[in-house]
Amino acid sequence: MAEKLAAAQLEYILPQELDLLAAEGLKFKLLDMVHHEGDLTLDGREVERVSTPCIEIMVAAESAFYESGRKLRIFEPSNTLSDAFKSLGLVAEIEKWSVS
Amino acid sequence: MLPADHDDPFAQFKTTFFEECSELLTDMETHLADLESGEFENETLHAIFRAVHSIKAGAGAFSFNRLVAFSHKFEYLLDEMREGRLQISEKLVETLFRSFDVLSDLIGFAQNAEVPDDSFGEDALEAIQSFLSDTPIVTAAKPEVKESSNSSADDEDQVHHYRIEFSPHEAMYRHANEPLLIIRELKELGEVNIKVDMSRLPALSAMEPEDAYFSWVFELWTTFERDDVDEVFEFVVDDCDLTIITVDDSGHVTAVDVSLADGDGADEGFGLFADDPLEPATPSEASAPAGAEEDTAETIADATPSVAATSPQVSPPTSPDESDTKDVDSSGEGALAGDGAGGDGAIDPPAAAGAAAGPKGPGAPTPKAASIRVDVDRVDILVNMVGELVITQAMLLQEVENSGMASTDRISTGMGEMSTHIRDLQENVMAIRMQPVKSVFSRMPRIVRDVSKKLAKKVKLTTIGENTEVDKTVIEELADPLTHMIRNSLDHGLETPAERLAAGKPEEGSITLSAEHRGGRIVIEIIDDGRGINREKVYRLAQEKGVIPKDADLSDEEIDNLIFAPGFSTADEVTDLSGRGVGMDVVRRNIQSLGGRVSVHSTPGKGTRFLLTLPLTLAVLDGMIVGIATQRYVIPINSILETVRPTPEQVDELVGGAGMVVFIRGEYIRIVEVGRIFELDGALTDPTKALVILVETEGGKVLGLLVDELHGQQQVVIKSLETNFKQVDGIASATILGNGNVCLIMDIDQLAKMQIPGSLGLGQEGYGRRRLAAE
Repeated sequence: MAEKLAAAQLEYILPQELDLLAAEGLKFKLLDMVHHEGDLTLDGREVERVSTPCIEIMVAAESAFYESGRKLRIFEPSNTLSDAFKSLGLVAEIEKWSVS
Repeated sequence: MLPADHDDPFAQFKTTFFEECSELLTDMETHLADLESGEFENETLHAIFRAVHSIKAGAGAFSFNRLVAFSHKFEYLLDEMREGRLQISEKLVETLFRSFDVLSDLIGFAQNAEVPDDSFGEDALEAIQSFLSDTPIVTAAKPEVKESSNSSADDEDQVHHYRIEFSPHEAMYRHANEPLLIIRELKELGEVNIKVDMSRLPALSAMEPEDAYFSWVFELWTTFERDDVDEVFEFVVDDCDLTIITVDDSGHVTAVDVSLADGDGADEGFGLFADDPLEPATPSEASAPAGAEEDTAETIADATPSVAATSPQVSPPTSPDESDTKDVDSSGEGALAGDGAGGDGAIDPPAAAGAAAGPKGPGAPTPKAASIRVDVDRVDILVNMVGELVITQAMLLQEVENSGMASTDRISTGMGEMSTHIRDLQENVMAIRMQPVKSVFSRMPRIVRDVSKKLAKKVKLTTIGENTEVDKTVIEELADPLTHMIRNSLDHGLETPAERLAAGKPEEGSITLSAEHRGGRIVIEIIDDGRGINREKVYRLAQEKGVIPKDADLSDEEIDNLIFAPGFSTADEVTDLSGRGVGMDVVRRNIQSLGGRVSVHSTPGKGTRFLLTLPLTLAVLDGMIVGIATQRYVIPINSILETVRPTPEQVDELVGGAGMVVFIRGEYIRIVEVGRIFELDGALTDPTKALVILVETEGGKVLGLLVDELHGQQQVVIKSLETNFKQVDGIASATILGNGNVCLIMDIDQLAKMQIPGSLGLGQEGYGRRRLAAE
């Protein structure tokens, strides 16, 4: 169990490329965030390329946050990111998680 | 339908499919019985669902459309149960059983290349529908179809509705296949309603980053043809489970096309079935329109790709590697629109194909199969060859013994070791044919259920030892006799609830079906706690029907066993269940033909116990080699009680030269002069100088076979006399001894009924040895 660090708010800037090769790095980054305290805001403004595995990881991460009584939000998701969520049938999710 | 064409390239796979169907149906029946008994876990429902799902998948591969359509509906009902939206009830279980029957019959139709009536299975479908109608189901409203500039002129106004169930295999992303691309292409065809199923998604910490966890159901309304839809999935068909359902305007399913890939995980059987049976139902199965489907599927637009994709020896249109290449090419433009609305969404370039070389890539080792499916004929050839080996070994052993070689000689000790190895080899080869009796026992709960319902009786069936193994041939022949005996117990043995209560018994009757190995044989018991056999009635009817003489003096056991007499029935009313009076006779003959025995033991008011003993195999036999004149014969060891050489005082001649009896421990036992029956010159006829082997017949009678001498006990390989020569009275089969000579195996029961040529003879084994002794 990773040591929990005190933090009111966690932030992470999603990379431009969320392709298959980025999936592993994203998983461990978000998993690390889960082990910290506080809600997480993902900055989605720079995302230009998205893959389904990365979205699956984000969905699993949101569940992990939700289960620990915290929130995961996506700040200003790019059209690319937003559309990918919607295309995969995750319309409600992206609308709920989006903040601006 | 299945063409009756020997050149059918898929014949081998179809055979495998039907074999697997048979196994799945057996499992289903067992689980359904558990459901009914209330003794089940959630896994029971999952297991039934998986069986139906697997049948649907395989059927889809061969375009057995009626079967696919029905199993789809059945599967839907089961999914509602799994999800807890339908609670188990008597009516629901009844529907499941009816659906099981229809499914079973549809498989039979498919196997025989027959087409059932359009109305076949309608009642079951209606019953299923009645449950589904009660379930709140979310259906997607049919949206307006966007006008497509690419729609063909011929079909411009025709809007097709497809429900596409798309479930990627875990390695799909690593093969550079991206659902976003597929969805984008679908959106180009028309209006798409998308439902994602995230139930496979594990916790973040447990995720393999490059594995696929989502699956989808797409409702597509398009003016494009089905081929265009297939094209969208062309390059992922090896990497997913795909079902494309064609729905007409009124919401009825008109075709279901199931395609299973032979890729990762599809290592069960021959890859005909779903590779991930634990996979939860796809969302569409929970969202399909209620009341929509009818079993009216007619043609599948293009079944060939499905077959190609599911048959391991048939090349799919493209290999996974080719798929990778295609995807790389198709995505070479870089960022791709995320949906048809013209968004600027982009997906990762499948140039990430390099990732396919990951730890679970195509080159990764696949799990080894724990079992293989082997044609029974091949096993039989092996059994026969080992049989020949046993014979040759016995011959060599005899030659070594005849040569006077010392037992310490290397050849002699080597022969001994070889004997041990061959014996082990034989046992292991025979074990290949052994199967648990479960496949037969699993049918019985259903029979009990149906029959008890017809008879308005309450019955609890308990099965014990269903994993007891016996030769496949024996199992195949066991189903009919067991079925009949169970029916007999239900019909004649168990009382009605009112009668039981009046007799101070629980309202619910009990039948116990058990199997166990005992003394190298399998013993099967059917015990009920019913009224027992009405001996007075049986005796009277037997006299009236001429089964026994008017003055026959029979023991209780002999009276009980009269129920096995031909044409005997005690039922007050002949029912369609078991009261035709031919069944129990047939039961006994069937069991006897397997080298088995059946007997009945009854206690009035307490119940009846049927006892079947059968050889574990029909290929080998432990026998006693006996000599009569210059001939040798084999008597099955399990029939032999003891061997005696009587004193002159123990032997009596019957009047009229009808034969002899031997008096042993207070009982007169008929002597069967085998040598005279077979007309063997030089056979001993004086029992005091020969040997009397006391044997027990199937009916429990004891007879004395008169033989000259004993040559010892030996396991012999049974050879069919009918196949190699012809049927001979008094002879069951043959074997080959170590010296290469053919040796005949006696048929004790038949011998008991044979007469000495030219004599008056008693002929029949006779009811009433006391009467016979009195004469």
